[in-house]
Formats: sequence, structure tokens, C-alpha cells
Amino acid sequence: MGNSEDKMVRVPKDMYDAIGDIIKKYPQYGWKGPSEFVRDAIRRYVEELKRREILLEKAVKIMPNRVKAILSKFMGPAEAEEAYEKIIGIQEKEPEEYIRKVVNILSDYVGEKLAELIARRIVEERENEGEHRY
Amino acid sequence: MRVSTGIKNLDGLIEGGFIEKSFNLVYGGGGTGKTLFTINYLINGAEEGKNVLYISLEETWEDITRKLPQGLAERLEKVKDKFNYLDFGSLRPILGKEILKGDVLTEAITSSIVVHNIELVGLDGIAPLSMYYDDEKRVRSAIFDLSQNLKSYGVTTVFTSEEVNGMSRYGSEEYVADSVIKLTFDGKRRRLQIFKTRGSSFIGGTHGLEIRKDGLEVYPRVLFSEKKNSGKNDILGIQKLDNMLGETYTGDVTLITGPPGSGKHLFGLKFLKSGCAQGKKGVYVSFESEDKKIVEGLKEIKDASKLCKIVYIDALNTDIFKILWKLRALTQSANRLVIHKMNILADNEEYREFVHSLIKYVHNMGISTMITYTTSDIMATNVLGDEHVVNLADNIIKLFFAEINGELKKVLAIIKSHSPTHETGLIEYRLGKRGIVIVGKVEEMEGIMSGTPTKQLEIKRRVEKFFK
Repeated sequence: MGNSEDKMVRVPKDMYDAIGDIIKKYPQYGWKGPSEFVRDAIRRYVEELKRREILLEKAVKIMPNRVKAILSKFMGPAEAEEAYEKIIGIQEKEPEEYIRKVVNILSDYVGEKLAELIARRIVEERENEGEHRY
Repeated sequence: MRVSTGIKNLDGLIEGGFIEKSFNLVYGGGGTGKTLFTINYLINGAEEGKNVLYISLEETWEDITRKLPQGLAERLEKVKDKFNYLDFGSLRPILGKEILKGDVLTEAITSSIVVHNIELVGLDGIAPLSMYYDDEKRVRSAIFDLSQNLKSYGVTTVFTSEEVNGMSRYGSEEYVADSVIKLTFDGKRRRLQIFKTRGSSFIGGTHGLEIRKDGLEVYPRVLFSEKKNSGKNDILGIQKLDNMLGETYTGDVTLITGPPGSGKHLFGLKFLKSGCAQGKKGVYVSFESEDKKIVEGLKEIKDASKLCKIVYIDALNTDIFKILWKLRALTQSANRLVIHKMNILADNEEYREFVHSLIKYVHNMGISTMITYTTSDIMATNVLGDEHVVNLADNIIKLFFAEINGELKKVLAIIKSHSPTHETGLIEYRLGKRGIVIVGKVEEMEGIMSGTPTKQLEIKRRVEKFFK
């Protein structure tokens, strides 16, 4: 049962019906009703966002060196060093924005698509590392 | 405008090099030298002051540079500021096959072209494209798009592909490419063949290719030469024989064919000596092991060390087209050339082309040449030994042995000469301390060429005398 501090959240009827179907389909998860399902979903989503934030922060920390290592193999140490210097000069605390700026710098060297691939891969590497630890 | 291929003697086969801003295919099986061709092309461009870009889709740059021949690696080191690379080979294990997607590749390459102001591109090994594109039609389309993009950036590209069933890997590279060069290697001989040069002509056929320490070198199957005027009376140097031959010309090719022990090398030596006496430079090339008889023989000649050169070529372990070009290099300032024991080359399947190119060259350059050919017959037969030289030689002298009065005598016959009035009789000669001595015509015998001489001629003469 809820308490007086609880707030109401609206969901469309289609979604509400879908929640009911899921609860019926997966009784093993033990959701007692739609409200518990929604609470559980929100809790999980928030956890995921926090985890992602931590991952991005970790990725940001290793980004300059990792980019340097990849570029060094890909196009030689001189350009890798040049890109590295530009990346460590980024003044941005927001991880998503920081990564966007790294991609911008890399785009000048390898094109936008490959730059995005490199940045994405560095974040994924952190993700995989986290999974292994877990 | 032409862009040099950077490979020695190749530009001359395709009207001076690749057409500027063209897309050129080099294909062949594994180990044929495609990567080295590409790197050689780019290093040469960088040495000319151009910014160049090497793109590897397969091997890593680290592996490639580790395997470079020493001289090529040193050349690369000297131009590393101009030499840029994109190593997709090392990136693939990190980023996966997505990097092989056409637009990712194109964007990465064109970004580098713009940043470094690139003029020459080498795109090495397009085989991995099939890892991303499961359908060959899509690979072809990607290659076409890439070629158009590179052309639009004004770069001159060499790209490599593997040979599959005699064609390039995807069978479409030839159509996209402005020029097509195929490399082959059978474990002993490297060959280069030009199939197409859009907008210009080329010298077809199979040419020799060598990977040297400092780069690649092509040995075309033809020798380039300019026609020089020829002069009369370039004598062999054996007085009586010269008289019997009649007219001889500068640039003549004389074939001396005969069995072992008939003194062929002495004919060659005499030919060089006679040239030296007139201040003419000569080269004696032996396909036999180092010939002490010739070295000693030449020592007797005044100024021989200045005018004559003896060269031994290991014919069995040297590419026949390389030998051709070596002969060209050796005779750049020579007037006379002796090639001893040409028969050592005769089993080579490219021998016919070799002979044609060589003889055309010496004719054009006015290099009087004597070719000796060892036959296995001791007595005279109707076989001259080398049909290719026979067809093209100006003078043919056949040496053989004949049993005369119970002795094995040396006999020669002039089979062919410029002069229609050349000696047609058989000439006995012997090898003396001072070389070849012409004894004279064998007048009293008949049937020597058949191997069973008789003195019927004498009987015939007596009968004729009686009736007179």
C-alpha cells in the first residue's frame, strides 16, 4: 500500500494493459500488480542510468590514452600525439558532451563515422570490463 | 600528365607511367609482390616530393614494415614525413568489421587526403571488404564508389586485389580500373603482365620482375633502342675467313655453331682481339663457369683491360629477361659482343623472345655480335643447333669434325653470309698456339657433310682431265 507522500503517474491505457499482460506472462518475477511493476521498472532504469554515468566517467578518464593508442597504430605516433594533446585540452565535465567533443576532434583525422566508432568502442570496452568484474 | 610507377623500366612500357588521377589495379596471387609494388610506388612518389598515403585493409603496418627489404625500408625512413598510412589491418580487431563499410572507409581516406594534401594513394588488399559485404554485387558497388571518390579528390591510386581463377577477386576490379597489371610468381620466376591502360598504349606480353633490396625492377621482354647507322666491313678478325665470308657489317650477328672442342671460344676471342686492335670496346659473356682460357687469352691483347670486359652470368639461376637487360647494360658503350654457349639458355620457354629482342637490339645499336652454340653432334649433320638464332643471324658458320686420312680434322662451313659470293667449300682449320689457323679448302674429299668422306673427287678430276 502507498503512503501520503506517494505521487501519481499517468500511463496510457495501452501501456497499462501491456503491463498487465507481462505480469501474467512472467509470474516468476513476483509483481503483485501494475504499480509494483512500474516501481521496479523505474528502479532498474535509474540504476542503469547511474551505471552508464559511471561507465562514461570511467571511459572519459581513459579516453585520451586509449585514443592515442588506437590512432598510433592506425595512422602513426605523430598524429596520435597531436590528437591526444587536443583531447586532454577539452574542458568539459559532462561525460556525454565530453565524448561528443572527442568525436569532433577525431573526425578531423579519420572522418566522423570512424571517429564515432572509435569513441563507441572505448565506452563498450569499459562496459565489457564491468560485466566481467560483475 | 603521367605519374611514375616508381618501378624501374615499367614506365617505359605504359607511355611514361600512370595517368594522373587514375585508379589502377595490381592483382596477383599471394606472394607475388602486390604490397611491395604499392609501397615502392608510394616511396618513389614521396621521393619526388609528393605526399602519399598507404591504406592497408589486411596486413598491419607493423607486419608490413617488418618484412620490407632492407633497402626499401631505408628509402621509406628517409621520406617518412611525406609517407602517411591508414592501418585498417590493426584497427579491425579493435573495431570489428564495421570499419570496412564503404562510407566509413571513404570518409577516413578522404579526411586523410585533405589533411595531408595527398597526391598518391596505395590501397592494399581489398579482399577483407567481403567480410562486411556478404553480396559480391555490393562489394563491386563499394569499390566503384570508392574509385569515384578518390578520383574526385584528384589522387592517383594503385589498389591491389588477389587473383582468383585467373581474374581479380571480385571480377569487377578490371572494369573499374584505368589500368590493370597482373603479377605472378611460380616459385622461381616473377612475371608482370599489363592487360589494360585506358587512354594509352602499352607493351604487352610477359615481362620479368625482380624484387631487389631497394625496390622492384621490371625487365621488359623487349629492349628499347634507337637505330644507329651501320658500317661495312666489321671483320671477324680471322683474315682468311673474313675473305671467305665476303661483306660484313657493323651490328652483324654471327652464329658459330659446333661440337665441344671445335674451338668456338677461340673464334669469340679472336673477334674481340680484332676489335681491340681497332680500339673497339668488347664484352665477352660466358654462360659457362668462369672461363680461364678467355681470361688468359685476353691478357695477351694490348689494352684489353681497358677495352674488354669478361662477364660470367649464372644462366640457370638468373631470370632470362634479367640477362637480356644485363646484356643491354654491359653493351652500352661496347662495339662488340661475344655470347659464349648460348645453348645453356635454350631450354627456357622464353628463349625465343629473348633471342628476338637481343638480336633486334644489337642490330639497331650497331653492336657486332658473335654467338657460340654448342651442338652435341661431333661429325657434320644437317642440324645447326639453334633455330631461333639461325633465323635471325646474318652469318652462320658451322664447325664440325671430319675423319680425313684416318685423322679427326676440324672443318668449317659458311652456311650463310651477307655476301652472295661467300665461300661455299668446306674449310679445314686447326687450333694452334696463336689461335685459329685456316688450313684451306678440303678439295680432295667428297661426302664430308654426310660423315663418310671419300676421295672420289680426285678420281673425277682425273676422268675430266683424260677427256680434256
